[in-house]
Amino acid sequence: MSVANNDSGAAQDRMLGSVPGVQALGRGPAPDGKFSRHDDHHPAAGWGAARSVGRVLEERGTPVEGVRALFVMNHEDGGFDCPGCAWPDDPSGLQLDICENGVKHVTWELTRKQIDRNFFAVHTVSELAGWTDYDLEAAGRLSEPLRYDPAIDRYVPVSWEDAFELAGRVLRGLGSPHEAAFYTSGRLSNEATFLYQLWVREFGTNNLPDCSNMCHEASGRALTAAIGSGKGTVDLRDWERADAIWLLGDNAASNAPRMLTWLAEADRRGAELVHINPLIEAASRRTIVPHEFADMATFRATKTGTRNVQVRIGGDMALLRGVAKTVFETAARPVQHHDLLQRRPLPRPDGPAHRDAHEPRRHARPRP
Amino acid sequence: MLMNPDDMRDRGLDEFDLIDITSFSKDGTTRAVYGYRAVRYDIARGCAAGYMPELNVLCGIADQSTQSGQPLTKHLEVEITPHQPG
Repeated sequence: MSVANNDSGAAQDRMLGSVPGVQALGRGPAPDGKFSRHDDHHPAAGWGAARSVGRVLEERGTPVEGVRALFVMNHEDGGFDCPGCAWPDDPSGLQLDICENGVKHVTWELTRKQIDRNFFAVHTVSELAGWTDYDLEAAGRLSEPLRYDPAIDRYVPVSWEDAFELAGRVLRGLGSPHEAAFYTSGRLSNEATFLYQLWVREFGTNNLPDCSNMCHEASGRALTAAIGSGKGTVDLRDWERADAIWLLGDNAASNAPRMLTWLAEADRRGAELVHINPLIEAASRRTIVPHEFADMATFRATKTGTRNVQVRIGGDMALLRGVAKTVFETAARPVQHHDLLQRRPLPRPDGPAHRDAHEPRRHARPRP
Repeated sequence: MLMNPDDMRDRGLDEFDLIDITSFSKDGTTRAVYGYRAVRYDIARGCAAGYMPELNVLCGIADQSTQSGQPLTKHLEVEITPHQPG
């Protein structure tokens, strides 16, 4: 077992670049030796995204089912939610409300590629540890329960009955249900997630971490402390009426491309769109919305930002404090909830809510 | 590693040059990855950005939020130097 783990460890080390003096291999497909980069001046989405969608459908071998699915994606009534991002569905029923990344997510859900015991009979776990993430995903989806056998460094088939028996035996052997953690991610369906948490809570613990802890736990804690709710308090109807929209640290073109539609709409009616980000992102400039057929035909781009504020990392806190100070000092009329804010002053810069970023680092950093 | 062009010039780095990245944890320990590539990007001076999961290793166990318990992967202190071949 130790030999097998050393092999897979070495492969991981080479990919991650943890070997001094040796070039990192990376986890993606191997480049052909040439590197290139072009300044990104073209509008986000548009024909580039549309062409990519066509290529993805073709490569995945699911053009018919894939296209059929696209017509019911993200419809509030009778459709299904794309697993790609949490941007809300248009309540007025925008047709073909999809994006390039969402199409990749959905066509992957429709894949017919499967791997079974024959695949794992050929490939050891140490060998698979050296594969790229892309190649691993492209191999296909698991089609039967498997169990790792350290003696031969392979996954071997196990019956459903034995799999449940094994899981049950391990869980019953714990000193307390809280010794176990049950991880999941947004790629799991709502229905499967519901059953999963039901089982875990019945078992006796609330240890249900998931990938959104990483994405939202920090903002959730801070929002709860500041406004009493860990989530955003506006919906698309508020967005439609906003005169100014502030976007901090987002990259809509990659992470929630359907938001581009709404940024373009806000710009058309004259709203101010202020992006605050150390990195100037594609979605902070212009877009061509793929389902707006006239714009696609004429290559007409719509602005998705009226101002980019490029702060240093963590500088958004100083910026927002400055904005708040200016608003309080210069407001011609009392700001909303003025009395409440007088009773509960904003957290001090040295208060607990700001400790993370300002906590002094104890090391003596070598200076070049 | 996405880097500010002026920061790259100061360190004698050209586009796609190999670099080593060292991080300095709150608890005084250091971590490093080797043989990455520097890529010019419109990012604020003094800042650099890379991707997870490959750079997770730069975040020490002490580099976590005292409130949310989450890793401070967006706020690590790093030093970027030309790659030293072994």
